[in-house]
Amino acid sequence: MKLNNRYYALLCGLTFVSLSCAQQTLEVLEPWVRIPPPGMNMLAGYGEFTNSSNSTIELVSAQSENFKSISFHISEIVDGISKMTKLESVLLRPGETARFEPGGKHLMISTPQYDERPEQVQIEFLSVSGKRYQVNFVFLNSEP
Amino acid sequence: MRIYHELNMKPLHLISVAITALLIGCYQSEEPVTTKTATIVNPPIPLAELSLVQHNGTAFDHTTLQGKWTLMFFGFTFCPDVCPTTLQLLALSLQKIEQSGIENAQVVFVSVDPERDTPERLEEYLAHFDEKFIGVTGELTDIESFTQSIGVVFAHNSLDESGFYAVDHTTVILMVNDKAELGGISSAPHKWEDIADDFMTVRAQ
Ligand SMILES: [Cu+2]
Repeated sequence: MKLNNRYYALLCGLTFVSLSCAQQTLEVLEPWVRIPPPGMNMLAGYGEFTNSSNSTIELVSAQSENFKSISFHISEIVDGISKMTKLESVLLRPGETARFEPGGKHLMISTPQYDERPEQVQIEFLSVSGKRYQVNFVFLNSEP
Repeated sequence: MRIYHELNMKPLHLISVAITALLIGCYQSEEPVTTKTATIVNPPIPLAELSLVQHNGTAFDHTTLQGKWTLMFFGFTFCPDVCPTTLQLLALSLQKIEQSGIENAQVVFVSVDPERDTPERLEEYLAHFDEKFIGVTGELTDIESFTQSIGVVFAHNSLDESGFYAVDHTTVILMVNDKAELGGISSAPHKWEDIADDFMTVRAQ
């Protein structure tokens, strides 16, 4: 039997299975997108992604109605040279945390679709198994 | 595919080589000066002649550097992660330097992507971080000859699906003295307080 999230939440609420309730998801701590300089169409998003479920989560894509496209990237310094590489997916084993931070893993966000920048934007992540996770990112000038 | 704008198509570490040589050759007899993270270049190395353009359209050459102490960083405005992060740090560093009474410090951002980074674009971009920042661009060949002369390398990546390309680039921050000579090098990962303190140490040399 497969329960969708809403039924599961309801079930948890009713039966006080709080432990398993709290452990059903992907948690993102301090999700933020860097406020871009004017005219800048490439943005970066950050946050601490933790898999608090009991199964592996492999994020394969991200999207938002506020942006044209979003992909996973990593900046690395190799021999003193900064390089940016696209990551095909982000794998999180149960309990594992991936830090997306300036100069490291980041969401590479292209082309805002809004006229006026909102305070926050929702980004939806899709896992390889078809699960969707919505996360609200706030706009900030620097790391919270 | 990455094309290195470099003589041998691969990154050479001219600066490291130069510094190592200098350290072995000249530094032994001197009293050690401690920096937090930066490497002091002693004696300073004169920068090669350069002829580039500032974001306000005026020439950028040795006269722009003479009489000033400069923090110089290389990057491109379409860089979403490393460049804005570093420029933000540099804004804080400059603030600290100025607050300690130094009036002739400047931050110079040299574009390694002159096709996209026009003077106008640089002006708009840099003002976001600090209106005093100087953006520098120019002919690709002129930028290449300048970066090659100081061991900074960059490589334009191929286009992605959306028509975007990234530019790999050296992440050092150069400290240039008031005679247009390289006096110090700060390597990533950068901390704004260390950059400011080391800059002042190099300046006090
Ligand atoms: Cu990126």
